[in-house]
Amino acid sequence: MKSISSSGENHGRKISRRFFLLASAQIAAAVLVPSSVLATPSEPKTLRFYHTHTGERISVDYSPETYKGSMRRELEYFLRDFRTGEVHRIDRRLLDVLTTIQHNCGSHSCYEIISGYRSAKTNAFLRKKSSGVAKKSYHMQGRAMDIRLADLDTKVLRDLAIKFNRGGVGFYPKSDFVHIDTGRKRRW
Amino acid sequence: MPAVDGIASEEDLARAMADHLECYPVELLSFKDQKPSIASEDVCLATIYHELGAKPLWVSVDGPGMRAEIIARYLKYADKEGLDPADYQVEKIEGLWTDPSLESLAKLDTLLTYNMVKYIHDVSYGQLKSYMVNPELFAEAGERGFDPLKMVETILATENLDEFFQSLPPQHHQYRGLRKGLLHYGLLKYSGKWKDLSGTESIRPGDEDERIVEIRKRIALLENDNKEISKSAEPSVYDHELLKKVVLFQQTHGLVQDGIIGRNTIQELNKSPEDRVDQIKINMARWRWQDHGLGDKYILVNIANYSLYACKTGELKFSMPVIVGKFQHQTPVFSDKIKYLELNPYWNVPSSIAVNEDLPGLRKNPSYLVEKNIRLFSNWQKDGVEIDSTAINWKRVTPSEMARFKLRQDPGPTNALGRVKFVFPNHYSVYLHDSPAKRLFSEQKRSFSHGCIRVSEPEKLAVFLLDEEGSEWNIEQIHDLISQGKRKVLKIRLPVPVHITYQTAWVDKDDEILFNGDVYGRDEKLYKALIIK
Repeated sequence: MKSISSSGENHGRKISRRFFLLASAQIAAAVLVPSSVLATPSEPKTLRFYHTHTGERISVDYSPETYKGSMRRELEYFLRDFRTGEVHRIDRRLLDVLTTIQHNCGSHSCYEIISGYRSAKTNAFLRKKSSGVAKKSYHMQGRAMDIRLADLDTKVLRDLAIKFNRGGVGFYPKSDFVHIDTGRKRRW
Repeated sequence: MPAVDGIASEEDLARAMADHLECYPVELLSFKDQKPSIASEDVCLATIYHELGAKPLWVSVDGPGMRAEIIARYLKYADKEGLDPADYQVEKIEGLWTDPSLESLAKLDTLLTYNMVKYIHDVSYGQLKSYMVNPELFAEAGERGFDPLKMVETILATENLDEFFQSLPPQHHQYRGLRKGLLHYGLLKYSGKWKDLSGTESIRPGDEDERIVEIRKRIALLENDNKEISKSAEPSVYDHELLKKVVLFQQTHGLVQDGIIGRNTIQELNKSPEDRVDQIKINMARWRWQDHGLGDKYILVNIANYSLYACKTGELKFSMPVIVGKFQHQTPVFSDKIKYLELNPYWNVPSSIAVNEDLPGLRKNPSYLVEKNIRLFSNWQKDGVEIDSTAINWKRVTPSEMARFKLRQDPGPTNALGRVKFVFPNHYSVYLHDSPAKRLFSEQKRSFSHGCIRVSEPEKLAVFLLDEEGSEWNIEQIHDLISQGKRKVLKIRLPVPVHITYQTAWVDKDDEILFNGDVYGRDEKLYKALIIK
C-alpha cells in the first residue's frame, strides 16, 4: 500500500457520469426529428379580459404556440400603460399562469385587469400617491399583472396564484385584486 | 423603447444575430488554449454558433419560446442544487426577457445558450471554478472534455426538456437528502444575531449557566419547536429535558454523546443556519464530482465520519465504524468495484513504511521484524531470496537500499491487514481490510491509517459482498475458511461498487440530515473556492 501524502481531494474515475450523458445524447439523437412535429401543441384556451380602467374587452384563443404575430400585438396593446399609451412586450409566462388558474377553478368569467404594463413615468407618478408601489416594479418590464375574476372570491384567487405561479404573488384585499409576476417566488 | 413595436421578420432577427455574433469571431477558435472551452464565454459561443449558423436557437421576433422558458427556469432556481443563479447571469437574462428590440433578442439568445451549457456542465460534473482556483486540490471538479456544441445539439433534439434537466444531478438518496436539507436550513429563521457562545467551562446536567438560555433557543430552532422556550420554569438550569435534546444534537453532529456541553459541542452550537447552508452546498458540490448513480448493491465509505454503509436496492442494510488515513496520509476519494477478497492475507509492507518506520526500528532492535512476523526478501521480484533480518547491520543500510528490500508479513493474528482484505485494484493502492487493533474502532475520531480503510466487522462485509442469488454465504462459512489459516482468494462474481467519499453533511435512511467534523480540513478550502466571491 503506497501512502497518499497529497492533501488534495484526489478523485478517481467518472465513467458512469460520462456514460450517462453520452447515453442520454444517443437517446436524444434517436429522436432527431424537429420537435415541432413531435410536440403535441396544447389545445388553445379562450382567455377573456376586461380592463377596469379603459373599459376595453378582448378575447383570445391562447396557447404557447398561438401567441405570436397579430394576437400577441393585440394583447400587448390591450395591456398597454393606459395613462401614457405606451405598449410593451408582455411576458408570456403570465398567460400560462392565467390559463392554469382558470382551468383549475372552473371559472367561466373574464379576467379583470387592474394594471398591466406600467411605464417608468407612470410608476413614478403612482409612487408619489401610494406607499405600496415598488420602485422597480415588474410591471415596468411587462412581467406583472394585477388581476381578479368576477365569479371568484379574490382570496381564493390568491391561493390559486400562490399554487400555480412560480413567481411573486401579492394580495390587496381592499382594492380587491391579486398581483402576479414572473420574478422570484415571493408573497405578500 | 418604441411606443409601438414594429413588425420585424425572422430574417431581420437572423441579421441581428449575425451582427451580434461579430463579437465572437471565428478566429477565437484558433486561440484555444489548455483551458476547457466553457471557461470562456467568447470561445464557447464562437464554437456553437459557428457550427450551427448565425441564427437564434431559443428566441423569435415574438420573444423567448417555450424552450427558452424552461432553460431560464432551471437557471433561475439553480439555488435548489446549491448553485448560485448569479453564476448563470440570471438577472441579465430576466432583464432582457421582455425587451423586443432585435439587438436584445440576439443578446438574450446567446446568454441563454452559454449559461445553459455552463449550468448543464456544473450540475453534471461540478463547477469548474473549484478546478480553476486550485487544479491540484480539486482535480476532479468539472469535466475538461465537456463539449458545449454537442450539448446544444442534444438539447435541440430533446423532446422533454424538463425531464432532461431533472435527470442531470445525482439521483441517489444522499444527494436528494442534501437538497431537502438545503431547503430546510434555508428556511430556518432566527430572531437576533447568532453570535458565539462564550466561556470555556463545560456545562454538566444540573448546572446553572446563563448560556443555557441561548442553547435552549438554538436547539428549539433546530427542532422546529417554538414552544420550547416557554416550557421551562428555570431557563438557565440544564435540566433533564434539555439533556435529552443535547444528546440528540451531539448524535447528529458527530460528537461524543455524553450530554456534557463542552468545547466541541459549543463549537457546533455556534454554527448558524447560514453556516449549515454553506456546508450542505459544498457537500452537494462534492457529490456532483462523483458517480451520479451509486448502483443497486454498493458500499459507501464516508471518510469524514469514519463510517462504512452497505446498501442494497436503495436500502441501508448496515453500517460499521472504519478507520481512515491520518492527516499526513489522507484516504483518497474515488469510486471503483470490489472484485475479490483475500482471507488470511499476506501484507506486503509499502516501501514508505519500510523506510520511515521499519528501518529506524531495526536499527534499534535487530529482532524488530522477527517479532512482527515480517519476512525479508532481497528484492521485489519473484526470484527474491529470503534473508535473515537479524544478520544484517541495519545501521549501514541507507533508505534507498531499504526501499529495494521486500518485506512481507505472514498471515496471522497480528497481521496488519487482519484476517480479510477487500480488493479493488486502483492506482492509489488503497483497499479495505480487517485490523488486529480492535480497540481503535471505539475512538470518536479514527484517522490512524496510512490511507487504507480498516473495517471493524470484516466478516459481515464479506458475507454482504459474496452473498447473492444462487450463491448464499453466511458468517460461519467465513469463519471456517479463516480458521484454516491459509490464504484464500474469493472472487466476487458481480463486482460491487465502492464509493469512497468525503462528506461532512449527509443523510441517514430516514432522510435526517447529519453533520460531522472536517478531519482533513477540506470544507474551508472548498468553501473559499466555491462560495466566496
